[in-house]
Amino acid sequence: MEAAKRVILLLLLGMQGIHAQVMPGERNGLIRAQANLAGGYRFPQKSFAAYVAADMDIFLSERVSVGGEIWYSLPLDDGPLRQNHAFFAGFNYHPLKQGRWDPFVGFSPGVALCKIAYEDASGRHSTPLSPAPLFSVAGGCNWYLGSVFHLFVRLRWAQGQVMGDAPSRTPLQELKISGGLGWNIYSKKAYTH
Amino acid sequence: MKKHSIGFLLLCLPFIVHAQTGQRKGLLRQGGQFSLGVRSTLSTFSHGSWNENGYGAGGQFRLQLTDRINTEWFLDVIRTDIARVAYRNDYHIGWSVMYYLVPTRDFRRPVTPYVQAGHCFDWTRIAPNGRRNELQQRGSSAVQAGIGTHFNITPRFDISLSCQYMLHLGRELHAHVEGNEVHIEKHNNAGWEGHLLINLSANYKLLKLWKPRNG
Repeated sequence: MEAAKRVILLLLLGMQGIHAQVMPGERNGLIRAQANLAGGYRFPQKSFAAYVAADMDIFLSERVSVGGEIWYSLPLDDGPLRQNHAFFAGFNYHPLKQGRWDPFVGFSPGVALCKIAYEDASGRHSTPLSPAPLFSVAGGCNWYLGSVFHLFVRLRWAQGQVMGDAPSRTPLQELKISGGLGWNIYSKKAYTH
Repeated sequence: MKKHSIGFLLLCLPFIVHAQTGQRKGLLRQGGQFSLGVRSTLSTFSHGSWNENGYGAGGQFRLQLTDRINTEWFLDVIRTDIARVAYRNDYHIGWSVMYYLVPTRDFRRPVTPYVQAGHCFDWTRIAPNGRRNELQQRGSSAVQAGIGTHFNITPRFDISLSCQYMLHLGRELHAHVEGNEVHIEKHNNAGWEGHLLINLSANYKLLKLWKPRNG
Protein backbone atom coordinates (compact mmCIF):
# COMPACT_ATOMS: atom_id res chain seq x y z
CA MET A 1 0.00 0.00 0.00
CA GLU A 2 2.83 2.34 0.95
CA ALA A 3 4.62 1.50 -2.29
CA ALA A 4 1.50 2.30 -4.32
CA LYS A 5 1.17 5.67 -2.57
CA ARG A 6 4.80 6.46 -3.35
CA VAL A 7 4.34 5.55 -7.03
CA ILE A 8 1.25 7.76 -7.29
CA LEU A 9 3.10 10.61 -5.55
CA LEU A 10 6.06 10.25 -7.91
CA LEU A 11 3.75 10.23 -10.94
CA LEU A 12 2.01 13.37 -9.69
CA LEU A 13 5.34 15.08 -9.08
CA GLY A 14 6.50 13.98 -12.54
CA MET A 15 3.39 15.44 -14.14
CA GLN A 16 3.89 18.64 -12.14
CA GLY A 17 7.52 18.78 -13.32
CA ILE A 18 6.54 18.31 -16.95
CA HIS A 19 3.75 20.86 -16.64
CA ALA A 20 6.18 23.37 -15.15
CA GLN A 21 8.36 23.23 -18.27
CA VAL A 22 8.58 26.32 -20.44
CA MET A 23 5.81 26.34 -23.06
CA PRO A 24 6.82 26.42 -26.71
CA GLY A 25 6.87 29.98 -28.00
CA GLU A 26 6.01 30.75 -31.60
CA ARG A 27 5.43 27.58 -33.61
CA ASN A 28 7.25 28.82 -36.70
CA GLY A 29 10.39 26.68 -36.85
CA LEU A 30 9.23 24.13 -34.29
CA ILE A 31 10.06 20.52 -35.12
CA ARG A 32 8.08 17.73 -33.48
CA ALA A 33 8.62 14.00 -33.85
CA GLN A 34 7.47 10.70 -32.37
CA ALA A 35 7.91 6.96 -32.72
CA ASN A 36 5.34 4.60 -31.22
CA LEU A 37 3.33 1.47 -31.56
CA ALA A 38 0.15 2.16 -33.51
CA GLY A 39 -2.93 0.39 -34.77
CA GLY A 40 -5.33 0.29 -37.67
CA TYR A 41 -8.54 -1.22 -38.94
CA ARG A 42 -8.72 -2.51 -42.53
CA PHE A 43 -12.33 -2.21 -43.66
CA PRO A 44 -12.36 -4.52 -46.74
CA GLN A 45 -10.53 -7.29 -44.85
CA LYS A 46 -12.43 -6.56 -41.61
CA SER A 47 -9.24 -7.00 -39.61
CA PHE A 48 -7.11 -5.08 -37.13
CA ALA A 49 -3.51 -4.16 -37.87
CA ALA A 50 -0.46 -3.32 -35.77
CA TYR A 51 2.40 -1.01 -36.71
CA VAL A 52 5.54 0.66 -35.55
CA ALA A 53 4.89 4.24 -36.67
CA ALA A 54 7.10 7.31 -36.70
CA ASP A 55 6.44 10.83 -37.93
CA MET A 56 8.00 14.26 -37.99
CA ASP A 57 6.49 17.73 -38.56
CA ILE A 58 8.33 20.95 -39.29
CA PHE A 59 6.34 24.16 -38.82
CA LEU A 60 6.78 26.44 -41.85
CA SER A 61 4.60 29.12 -40.22
CA GLU A 62 2.38 29.45 -37.14
CA ARG A 63 -0.39 27.46 -38.83
CA VAL A 64 1.19 25.26 -41.49
CA SER A 65 3.54 22.32 -41.03
CA VAL A 66 5.13 19.92 -43.50
CA GLY A 67 5.86 16.37 -42.47
CA GLY A 68 6.27 12.72 -43.20
CA GLU A 69 5.24 9.41 -41.64
CA ILE A 70 6.54 5.85 -41.84
CA TRP A 71 4.33 2.88 -40.89
CA TYR A 72 5.98 -0.53 -40.57
CA SER A 73 3.40 -3.31 -40.33
CA LEU A 74 3.62 -6.20 -37.88
CA PRO A 75 1.80 -9.45 -38.76
CA LEU A 76 -1.24 -9.97 -36.52
CA ASP A 77 -3.13 -12.67 -38.39
CA ASP A 78 -2.86 -15.10 -41.29
CA GLY A 79 -4.94 -12.94 -43.65
CA PRO A 80 -4.19 -12.11 -47.29
CA LEU A 81 -2.50 -8.78 -46.48
CA ARG A 82 0.75 -10.21 -45.13
CA GLN A 83 2.63 -6.91 -45.02
CA ASN A 84 1.30 -3.40 -45.47
CA HIS A 85 4.02 -0.82 -44.88
CA ALA A 86 3.38 2.79 -45.83
CA PHE A 87 5.06 6.12 -46.27
CA PHE A 88 3.22 9.49 -46.30
CA ALA A 89 4.36 13.05 -46.99
CA GLY A 90 2.27 16.21 -46.89
CA PHE A 91 1.02 19.28 -45.07
CA ASN A 92 -0.98 19.89 -41.91
CA TYR A 93 -3.04 22.96 -41.06
CA HIS A 94 -3.17 24.02 -37.40
CA PRO A 95 -6.08 26.42 -36.78
CA LEU A 96 -4.97 27.52 -33.26
CA LYS A 97 -1.90 29.68 -32.68
CA GLN A 98 0.45 28.93 -29.76
CA GLY A 99 -1.00 27.53 -26.50
CA ARG A 100 -1.00 23.94 -25.27
CA TRP A 101 -3.77 22.70 -27.57
CA ASP A 102 -2.82 22.14 -31.19
CA PRO A 103 -5.56 20.47 -33.26
CA PHE A 104 -4.74 19.88 -36.92
CA VAL A 105 -6.01 18.47 -40.20
CA GLY A 106 -3.73 17.22 -42.94
CA PHE A 107 -3.48 16.00 -46.50
CA SER A 108 -0.62 13.57 -47.23
CA PRO A 109 -0.50 11.32 -50.29
CA GLY A 110 1.48 8.15 -49.71
CA VAL A 111 2.78 4.89 -51.03
CA ALA A 112 2.03 1.47 -49.55
CA LEU A 113 4.40 -1.48 -49.89
CA CYS A 114 2.30 -4.63 -49.69
CA LYS A 115 2.90 -8.36 -49.70
CA ILE A 116 -0.21 -10.37 -50.60
CA ALA A 117 -0.81 -14.03 -49.76
CA TYR A 118 -2.97 -16.08 -52.14
CA GLU A 119 -3.80 -19.68 -52.90
CA ASP A 120 -4.02 -21.46 -56.22
CA ALA A 121 -4.01 -25.07 -57.39
CA SER A 122 -0.30 -25.43 -56.60
CA GLY A 123 -0.62 -24.21 -53.01
CA ARG A 124 -0.22 -21.03 -50.95
CA HIS A 125 2.01 -18.26 -52.28
CA SER A 126 3.12 -14.81 -51.29
CA THR A 127 3.88 -11.96 -53.70
CA PRO A 128 7.00 -9.82 -53.43
CA LEU A 129 6.56 -6.34 -51.93
CA SER A 130 4.55 -4.27 -54.39
CA PRO A 131 4.01 -0.47 -54.28
CA ALA A 132 0.55 1.11 -54.37
CA PRO A 133 -0.21 4.86 -54.37
CA LEU A 134 -2.43 5.98 -51.50
CA PHE A 135 -4.89 8.84 -51.06
CA SER A 136 -4.77 9.95 -47.46
CA VAL A 137 -6.14 12.57 -45.06
CA ALA A 138 -5.44 12.94 -41.35
CA GLY A 139 -6.69 14.75 -38.29
CA GLY A 140 -5.65 14.90 -34.68
CA CYS A 141 -4.42 16.98 -31.80
CA ASN A 142 -1.14 17.69 -30.00
CA TRP A 143 -1.10 18.82 -26.38
CA TYR A 144 2.18 20.45 -25.39
CA LEU A 145 3.26 19.42 -21.90
CA GLY A 146 6.21 21.75 -22.03
CA SER A 147 9.24 22.57 -24.10
CA VAL A 148 10.36 18.94 -24.50
CA PHE A 149 7.31 16.69 -24.64
CA HIS A 150 3.82 16.65 -26.07
CA LEU A 151 0.96 14.16 -26.06
CA PHE A 152 -0.68 13.47 -29.38
CA VAL A 153 -3.44 11.52 -31.05
CA ARG A 154 -3.73 11.14 -34.82
CA LEU A 155 -6.30 9.46 -37.06
CA ARG A 156 -5.41 8.77 -40.68
CA TRP A 157 -7.58 7.48 -43.51
CA ALA A 158 -5.63 5.74 -46.29
CA GLN A 159 -7.18 4.43 -49.50
CA GLY A 160 -5.70 2.63 -52.48
CA GLN A 161 -5.51 -0.71 -54.26
CA VAL A 162 -2.83 -3.36 -54.70
CA MET A 163 -2.55 -5.15 -58.04
CA GLY A 164 0.15 -7.02 -59.83
CA ASP A 165 1.55 -10.35 -58.74
CA ALA A 166 -1.60 -11.67 -57.03
CA PRO A 167 -4.38 -13.02 -59.28
CA SER A 168 -6.91 -10.56 -57.86
CA ARG A 169 -7.01 -6.93 -56.78
CA THR A 170 -6.71 -6.16 -53.05
CA PRO A 171 -8.48 -2.97 -51.94
CA LEU A 172 -6.85 -0.88 -49.21
CA GLN A 173 -9.16 1.19 -47.03
CA GLU A 174 -7.78 1.67 -43.59
CA LEU A 175 -8.20 3.87 -40.54
CA LYS A 176 -4.82 4.20 -38.86
CA ILE A 177 -4.61 5.37 -35.27
CA SER A 178 -1.53 6.54 -33.41
CA GLY A 179 -1.11 8.27 -30.09
CA GLY A 180 1.22 8.71 -27.17
CA LEU A 181 4.16 10.80 -26.15
CA GLY A 182 6.09 12.87 -28.69
CA TRP A 183 9.17 15.06 -28.64
CA ASN A 184 9.53 18.77 -29.38
CA ILE A 185 12.75 19.64 -31.14
CA TYR A 186 13.22 23.38 -31.46
CA SER A 187 14.87 25.48 -34.10
CA LYS A 188 16.44 28.80 -33.15
CA LYS A 189 13.37 30.72 -34.16
CA ALA A 190 11.11 28.83 -31.79
CA TYR A 191 13.24 29.84 -28.80
CA THR A 192 12.34 33.51 -29.22
CA HIS A 193 9.25 34.01 -27.07
CA MET B 1 -7.98 74.67 -81.71
CA LYS B 2 -6.54 71.59 -83.39
CA LYS B 3 -3.01 72.58 -82.22
CA HIS B 4 -4.32 72.93 -78.66
CA SER B 5 -5.80 69.44 -78.80
CA ILE B 6 -2.53 67.95 -80.07
CA GLY B 7 -0.59 69.81 -77.37
CA PHE B 8 -2.98 68.57 -74.70
CA LEU B 9 -2.62 64.99 -75.93
CA LEU B 10 1.19 65.31 -75.93
CA LEU B 11 1.03 66.60 -72.35
CA CYS B 12 -1.09 63.60 -71.40
CA LEU B 13 1.28 61.12 -73.05
CA PRO B 14 3.72 60.80 -70.09
CA PHE B 15 0.80 60.06 -67.76
CA ILE B 16 -0.56 57.40 -70.13
CA VAL B 17 2.91 55.78 -70.45
CA HIS B 18 3.40 55.99 -66.67
CA ALA B 19 0.03 54.40 -66.06
CA GLN B 20 0.96 51.49 -68.37
CA THR B 21 4.28 50.97 -66.61
CA GLY B 22 2.49 50.94 -63.29
CA GLN B 23 0.01 48.37 -64.55
CA ARG B 24 2.87 46.21 -65.86
CA LYS B 25 4.62 46.37 -62.51
CA GLY B 26 1.35 45.39 -60.88
CA LEU B 27 0.91 42.39 -63.15
CA LEU B 28 4.41 41.18 -62.39
CA ARG B 29 4.14 41.73 -58.64
CA GLN B 30 3.45 38.05 -57.87
CA GLY B 31 6.03 36.76 -60.36
CA GLY B 32 8.75 34.54 -58.95
CA GLN B 33 6.65 32.78 -56.28
CA PHE B 34 7.95 29.24 -55.85
CA SER B 35 5.61 26.68 -54.26
CA LEU B 36 6.17 23.08 -53.30
CA GLY B 37 3.32 20.60 -53.07
CA VAL B 38 2.02 17.05 -52.92
CA ARG B 39 -0.82 15.63 -55.00
CA SER B 40 -3.29 12.77 -55.11
CA THR B 41 -4.91 11.81 -58.38
CA LEU B 42 -8.10 9.95 -59.15
CA SER B 43 -8.13 8.59 -62.70
CA THR B 44 -11.55 7.88 -64.19
CA PHE B 45 -13.16 7.45 -67.57
CA SER B 46 -10.24 5.64 -69.19
CA HIS B 47 -10.69 4.71 -72.85
CA GLY B 48 -14.30 5.84 -72.85
CA SER B 49 -15.25 3.64 -69.89
CA TRP B 50 -16.13 4.60 -66.32
CA ASN B 51 -15.11 1.09 -65.11
CA GLU B 52 -11.36 1.71 -64.96
CA ASN B 53 -10.51 3.72 -61.87
CA GLY B 54 -7.08 4.40 -60.49
CA TYR B 55 -5.37 6.13 -57.59
CA GLY B 56 -2.21 8.13 -57.96
CA ALA B 57 0.27 9.97 -55.78
CA GLY B 58 3.03 12.40 -56.56
CA GLY B 59 4.63 15.76 -56.07
CA GLN B 60 4.81 19.09 -57.82
CA PHE B 61 6.26 22.54 -57.73
CA ARG B 62 4.83 25.80 -59.05
CA LEU B 63 6.62 28.80 -60.44
CA GLN B 64 4.44 31.87 -60.86
CA LEU B 65 5.33 34.13 -63.79
CA THR B 66 2.87 37.01 -63.41
CA ASP B 67 -0.14 37.85 -61.23
CA ARG B 68 -2.43 35.92 -63.58
CA ILE B 69 -0.09 33.20 -64.94
CA ASN B 70 1.34 30.33 -62.94
CA THR B 71 3.13 27.15 -64.04
CA GLU B 72 2.90 23.71 -62.42
CA TRP B 73 5.56 20.99 -62.85
CA PHE B 74 4.51 17.56 -61.67
CA LEU B 75 5.53 13.94 -61.33
CA ASP B 76 3.08 11.22 -60.36
CA VAL B 77 2.31 7.51 -60.50
CA ILE B 78 -1.20 6.21 -61.14
CA ARG B 79 -2.23 2.59 -60.71
CA THR B 80 -5.51 1.72 -62.46
CA ASP B 81 -7.68 -1.36 -62.13
CA ILE B 82 -8.86 -2.85 -65.45
CA ALA B 83 -12.10 -4.78 -64.96
CA ARG B 84 -10.68 -6.61 -61.88
CA VAL B 85 -8.50 -8.81 -64.15
CA ALA B 86 -5.59 -6.56 -65.14
CA TYR B 87 -3.82 -3.42 -64.05
CA ARG B 88 -2.18 -0.42 -65.60
CA ASN B 89 0.63 1.76 -64.23
CA ASP B 90 1.10 5.27 -65.59
CA TYR B 91 4.18 7.30 -64.73
CA HIS B 92 3.68 10.99 -65.64
CA ILE B 93 6.16 13.80 -65.74
CA GLY B 94 4.90 17.07 -67.16
CA TRP B 95 3.87 20.68 -66.79
CA SER B 96 0.82 22.91 -67.08
CA VAL B 97 0.27 26.62 -67.46
CA MET B 98 -2.48 28.04 -65.26
CA TYR B 99 -4.36 31.24 -66.05
CA TYR B 100 -6.25 32.79 -63.12
CA LEU B 101 -9.77 33.86 -64.05
CA VAL B 102 -9.92 36.54 -61.34
CA PRO B 103 -7.24 38.86 -59.93
CA THR B 104 -5.37 36.87 -57.29
CA ARG B 105 -5.10 39.77 -54.77
CA ASP B 106 -2.02 38.15 -53.26
CA PHE B 107 -4.07 34.97 -52.73
CA ARG B 108 -6.08 36.62 -49.97
CA ARG B 109 -9.33 35.61 -51.68
CA PRO B 110 -10.66 32.33 -50.27
CA VAL B 111 -11.03 30.90 -53.80
CA THR B 112 -8.96 31.49 -56.96
CA PRO B 113 -10.34 29.64 -60.01
CA TYR B 114 -8.17 28.98 -63.07
CA VAL B 115 -8.01 27.23 -66.42
CA GLN B 116 -4.96 25.17 -67.29
CA ALA B 117 -3.36 23.34 -70.18
CA GLY B 118 -0.06 21.58 -70.65
CA HIS B 119 1.99 18.69 -71.82
CA CYS B 120 3.47 15.56 -70.27
CA PHE B 121 5.47 12.43 -70.99
CA ASP B 122 4.05 9.11 -69.91
CA TRP B 123 5.35 5.57 -69.42
CA THR B 124 2.57 2.97 -69.39
CA ARG B 125 2.77 -0.66 -68.24
CA ILE B 126 -0.16 -3.07 -68.53
CA ALA B 127 -0.30 -6.66 -67.30
CA PRO B 128 -2.93 -9.21 -66.29
CA ASN B 129 -3.20 -9.70 -62.53
CA GLY B 130 -0.85 -12.48 -61.45
CA ARG B 131 0.83 -12.79 -64.88
CA ARG B 132 3.61 -10.25 -64.83
CA ASN B 133 5.47 -12.14 -67.58
CA GLU B 134 2.79 -10.90 -70.03
CA LEU B 135 3.53 -7.26 -69.17
CA GLN B 136 3.60 -4.82 -72.09
CA GLN B 137 4.86 -1.25 -71.92
CA ARG B 138 5.26 1.83 -74.05
CA GLY B 139 6.18 5.50 -73.82
CA SER B 140 3.89 8.23 -75.07
CA SER B 141 3.41 11.95 -75.13
CA ALA B 142 0.25 13.60 -73.87
CA VAL B 143 -1.56 16.91 -73.77
CA GLN B 144 -3.92 17.87 -70.98
CA ALA B 145 -6.35 20.70 -70.31
CA GLY B 146 -8.90 21.47 -67.64
CA ILE B 147 -10.16 23.72 -64.89
CA GLY B 148 -9.34 24.07 -61.23
CA THR B 149 -9.38 26.26 -58.19
CA HIS B 150 -7.16 27.12 -55.25
CA PHE B 151 -8.74 27.15 -51.82
CA ASN B 152 -6.44 29.62 -50.09
CA ILE B 153 -6.25 28.49 -46.47
CA THR B 154 -3.66 31.20 -45.85
CA PRO B 155 -2.06 33.50 -48.48
CA ARG B 156 0.92 31.10 -48.61
CA PHE B 157 -0.88 27.77 -48.26
CA ASP B 158 -3.56 26.41 -50.57
CA ILE B 159 -5.49 23.26 -51.27
CA SER B 160 -6.13 22.94 -55.01
CA LEU B 161 -8.72 20.84 -56.80
CA SER B 162 -8.51 20.43 -60.56
CA CYS B 163 -10.08 18.33 -63.26
CA GLN B 164 -8.19 17.67 -66.50
CA TYR B 165 -8.62 15.48 -69.54
CA MET B 166 -5.32 13.94 -70.61
CA LEU B 167 -4.98 12.70 -74.19
CA HIS B 168 -2.10 10.33 -74.95
CA LEU B 169 -0.58 9.80 -78.38
CA GLY B 170 1.69 6.76 -78.71
CA ARG B 171 1.72 3.16 -79.83
CA GLU B 172 -1.66 1.58 -79.26
CA LEU B 173 -1.61 -0.51 -76.07
CA HIS B 174 -4.68 -1.87 -74.37
CA ALA B 175 -6.12 -4.79 -72.41
CA HIS B 176 -8.70 -6.79 -74.31
CA VAL B 177 -11.13 -8.20 -71.73
CA GLU B 178 -13.71 -10.89 -72.45
CA GLY B 179 -15.36 -12.15 -69.28
CA ASN B 180 -12.51 -13.24 -67.00
CA GLU B 181 -10.05 -13.60 -69.87
CA VAL B 182 -7.65 -10.80 -70.66
CA HIS B 183 -5.11 -10.29 -73.44
CA ILE B 184 -2.70 -7.40 -73.61
CA GLU B 185 -2.47 -6.07 -77.14
CA LYS B 186 0.25 -3.79 -78.46
CA HIS B 187 0.11 -2.48 -82.01
CA ASN B 188 2.67 -0.63 -84.08
CA ASN B 189 0.23 2.01 -85.20
CA ALA B 190 -0.23 5.15 -83.17
CA GLY B 191 -3.45 5.54 -81.26
CA TRP B 192 -5.21 8.18 -79.19
CA GLU B 193 -6.35 7.31 -75.71
CA GLY B 194 -7.31 9.45 -72.76
CA HIS B 195 -8.36 9.63 -69.17
CA LEU B 196 -10.07 12.09 -66.89
CA LEU B 197 -7.86 13.09 -63.97
CA ILE B 198 -9.10 14.70 -60.77
CA ASN B 199 -6.20 16.13 -58.78
CA LEU B 200 -6.20 17.23 -55.17
CA SER B 201 -3.03 18.95 -54.03
CA ALA B 202 -1.65 20.90 -51.09
CA ASN B 203 0.89 23.62 -51.86
CA TYR B 204 3.02 26.01 -49.82
CA LYS B 205 4.68 29.15 -51.21
CA LEU B 206 8.23 28.68 -50.00
CA LEU B 207 10.11 31.60 -51.49
CA LYS B 208 10.16 34.35 -54.11
CA LEU B 209 12.83 33.65 -56.70
CA TRP B 210 12.94 37.13 -58.21
CA LYS B 211 11.62 40.62 -57.57
CA PRO B 212 9.54 42.59 -60.10
CA ARG B 213 11.59 44.85 -62.36
CA ASN B 214 11.45 48.59 -61.70
CA GLY B 215 10.36 50.93 -64.49
